[in-house]
Amino acid sequence: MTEVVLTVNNPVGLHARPAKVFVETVRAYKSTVTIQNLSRPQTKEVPVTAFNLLQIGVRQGHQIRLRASGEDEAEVIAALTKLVEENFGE
Amino acid sequence: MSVVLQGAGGAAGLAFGPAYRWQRAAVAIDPPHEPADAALARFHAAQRAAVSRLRTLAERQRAAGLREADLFDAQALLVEDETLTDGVTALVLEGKPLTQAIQTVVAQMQAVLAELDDPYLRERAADMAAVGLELLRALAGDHASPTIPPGAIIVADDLTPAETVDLPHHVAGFATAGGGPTGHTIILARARGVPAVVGLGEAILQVPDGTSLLVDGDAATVLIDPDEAALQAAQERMAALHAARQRRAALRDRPGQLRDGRPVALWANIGRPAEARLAREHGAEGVGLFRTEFLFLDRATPPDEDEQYAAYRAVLAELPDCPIVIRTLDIGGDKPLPYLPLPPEANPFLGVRGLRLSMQRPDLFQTQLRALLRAAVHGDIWIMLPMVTTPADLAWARAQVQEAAAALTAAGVDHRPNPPLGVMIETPAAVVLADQLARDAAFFSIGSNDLAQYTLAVDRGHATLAARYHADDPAVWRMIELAARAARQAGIPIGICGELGGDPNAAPALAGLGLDELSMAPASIPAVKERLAQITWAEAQAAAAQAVGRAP
Repeated sequence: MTEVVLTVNNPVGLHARPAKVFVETVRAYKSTVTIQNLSRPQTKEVPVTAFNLLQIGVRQGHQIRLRASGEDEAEVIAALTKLVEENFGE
Repeated sequence: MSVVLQGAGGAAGLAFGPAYRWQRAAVAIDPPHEPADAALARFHAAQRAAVSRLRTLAERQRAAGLREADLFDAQALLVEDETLTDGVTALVLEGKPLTQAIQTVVAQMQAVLAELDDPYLRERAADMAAVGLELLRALAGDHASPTIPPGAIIVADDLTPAETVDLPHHVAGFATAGGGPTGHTIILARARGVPAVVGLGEAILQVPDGTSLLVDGDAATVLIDPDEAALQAAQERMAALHAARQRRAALRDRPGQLRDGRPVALWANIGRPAEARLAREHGAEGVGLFRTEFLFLDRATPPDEDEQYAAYRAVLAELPDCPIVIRTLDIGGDKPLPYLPLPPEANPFLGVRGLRLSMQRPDLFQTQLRALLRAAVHGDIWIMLPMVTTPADLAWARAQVQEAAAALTAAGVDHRPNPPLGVMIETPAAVVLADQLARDAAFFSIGSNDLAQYTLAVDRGHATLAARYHADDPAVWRMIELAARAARQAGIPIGICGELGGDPNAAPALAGLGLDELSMAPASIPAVKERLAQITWAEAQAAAAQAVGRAP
C-alpha cells in the first residue's frame, strides 16, 4: 500500500473540473484508491468516486490522505500528488 | 374567469399559448422476470447513452460561451459513478427490477447530499436527481421528444437543465411548479430567450391541456384563461416588444450615430473571450472594456504569458479589425488572490488596487504587458490602465511598457512596441488633472461606477446610504464634462465603460458631452443605438446641459 497526505490549495477544492480530472486519473490506473478528508474528521475513508468526492466536501486548504493498493499503486499516487501540487493545472 | 398565479422567478418576455402538459418520456417498463445480466446490460447501455448526451450538451453550452457547461460535465461524471453503479448492481442481483433499483439508489445518494452541512454540496442533490432522470430517460430508449405543438406553453412540475436546453425551439414559453429564481433552469431559459416562470406551485399542474396561458416572465406571473381585456393588453405589449426587437435588429449592422449622422461608436464590455461573440452578434463596433480579471481569479498561481496571449488573441479573432481596449489587472485588497497576499486594509477602496497593485508587483505587470504587446501584432489592441490618479502613474506605466518591449526585442519575439496606452478616468484626481493626463494618454475611458462612488463619497453597497448613490448625479456629470473637455482639447478620444454607458436614458447627454464611444454590456447595445438614432446633435447638447445642471 502506498499512502500520501496532501493539502488541496486550488480555490474550488476537489469539485467541478478538478474532481473530474481527479476521478479520471484514478480510473486510468488499475489500483484501488481511497481518500479521507482529514480536515473534516466526521467523514470516512472512501474510494475515490465522483459522488464520494462530493460527500467528503474537500475545500481549499483541506488536508487529504490518499491510499492506493494494487500493481501500479506508486504510479497512481505519484500522478495524483502531481495534480494536487500543481493545483490541477489551473 | 381568469386566475393569476405568482411564481418565484421568471425569464423576461411575454408568451401566450395553449398549455401543454409536458411529461417525461414514459419510463421504460422492465420486462417481467428479467435475468440480472440482461438488466445490467441495459443499465450499462443507458449509462453510456446518458453520458454521451450530457457531454454533447456540455459542448453545445460551451460553444455558446455559457458557464452552465460545467454543470453537464459534472452530471456526466455522476452517471458513471461507482457508488451508483455498485448500488444498482447489488439491488439488481438481489432481484429488484432495474428501474426501481436506479430510483432507490439515486434517492439514497440524493438524501446523503441533502444532509451535508455545506450549502454548495446540498445544492448538488439536485444534480443527483437530474442524473437519475437522465438515466431513466436513456433507459426508455431514444424516443423522439413528444410532439409538442408549435407555440405551446410547456407546463411541468420541474425541468432539469438538460430538459430545458433540449425543448424544441418552437416552444413559446414555459411554466413550472418547482424551481427557484436563481436555479439553472431559469438561467438557461434566459440564455435561450424563452419567456418562463418557475416556482408556481402545484396549482399550475391542475391546468387542463389546451387552456390559454399568458406567461409574463417580467412579472413572474402566469395568467390562466386571460379575459379579453388582459389578452388585448398583453398582445399590445407583445406587439410593441416584437416591433422594438425588429427595429433594433434592423439597426444591427449600422454604426452608432445620431439622427443627423454624428457618429457615437457603440462598443462592448466583456469579461471573457467567449463573450466577444455576443458583442459581435449585438452589433458592437469594438470592445471598450475587456476585463482581464477572469485570467487571475480562482487559481493558485498567476497565468503565464502564453495563456494570457492566447486569451487576448481569442478576442481579436472574434472581432477582427475592431479596436479592443484591454484593461490591465484591476483588483484590490477586497478580493485577495492566493498568490497575491495583500494585507487587510481598513479601506480597500482607498487602498492598493488597480495600477497601484501592478506597481507593487511589477513582475505580474510585466508578464501581462508582454502578452499584450505580442497579441497587439495581430489586431488593434489598446491598453487601458485602471485606478490612475496622477500623471506620474501614467509615466510609470509607460516606462513599464518600454521595458516589456525591450525585453521582447532582446528575446527576438515579434511584438508591437507601442499600442495606444490610455487611462481609465475613475477618480476625481484624474478628472481635475485630466488636461495633464491627456498630454501623455492616447485615450480616456470614464469608469463611471467608481467615479460616482469617489465623487459622491458613497459606497454604493452601503446599507443605508446607497440611495444617495446616483451615477447620474449632476456632480458626476460635471466630472464627465471636465474629462471630455480635456480630451477634446488634447485631441484624444474619450469613451465611457461604466454602467451609465449602457443606459439608453443617459445616452443623449453622454453624446452631448462629446463622448466618442459608449461601451456597455453587449445586450444593451441595440436599445442605446436606437435611442441615439432618434436625436439630433442639438438635442444631445440640450440633454447634456440638463444633466450637468446648466439647462437654460
